[in-house]
Amino acid sequence: MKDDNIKRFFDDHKQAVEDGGFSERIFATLDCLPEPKPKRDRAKLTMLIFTIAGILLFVIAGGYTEIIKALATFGNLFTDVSKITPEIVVALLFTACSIFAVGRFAVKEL
Amino acid sequence: MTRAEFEQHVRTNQEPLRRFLTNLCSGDTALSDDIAQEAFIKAYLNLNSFNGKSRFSTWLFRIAYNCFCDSKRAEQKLKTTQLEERTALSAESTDSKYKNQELYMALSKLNENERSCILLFYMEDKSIKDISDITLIKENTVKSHLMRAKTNLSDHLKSIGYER
Repeated sequence: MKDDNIKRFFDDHKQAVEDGGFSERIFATLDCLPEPKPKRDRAKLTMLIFTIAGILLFVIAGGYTEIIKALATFGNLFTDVSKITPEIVVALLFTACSIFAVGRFAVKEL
Repeated sequence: MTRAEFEQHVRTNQEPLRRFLTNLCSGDTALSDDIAQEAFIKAYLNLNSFNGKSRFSTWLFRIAYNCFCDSKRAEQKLKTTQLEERTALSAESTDSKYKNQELYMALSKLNENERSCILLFYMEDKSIKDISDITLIKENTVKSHLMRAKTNLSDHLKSIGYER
């Protein structure tokens, strides 16, 4: 059966529903209820707090110097590949998973 | 959202919402109005949780659909214990059922999911995505329900002259 016929059937049978005091009854009920509290966007506040904490920790722990050092030794990384133990690989894998999970959570919340 | 804005939404959405519920309840206007009222009150009390990702009407329809499902579950529990009362109620709503008999006859050929999808799609002009948000059914499954509903309605509609 063509779509048009079904659409026509439902259009022909679309009932007009009179308000008939329905809205007023709702408003009267709402008068007896407490006002809904305005929404607090905690996600943004949490992100701000943790961003500031992260920057402070980075500065206090000398993160900038560490990055420079890491970049300087980056060249030697591949010469020492044989020294990488399975524990380091597992730790790296779990770190990557954690970062991915936090990222997904943040995207979902926003 | 302020109280005035919410009141405006009530005025705008009460007609499509009540019509949808009335058709789901096979013409029982008393029951559908109770569900609609419950849905509006729940929406008002939970205005904080409306995040604006969907349209307000979609959010409202979703609450109403959940209320309808809850009411249906409660009704099924009472079915065996309150058979006599139910008979009285259905006799009361016979007039309103008669008025739209053709529509309710057609809808009776469908199962609950097909009925919800087809009413939302053809009568309330909701998109597939909106129907998916309201019923919490995946978009592809909504499409399947619509296809099956059309097939199931086809013979009945032919018999009442909707084939040209």
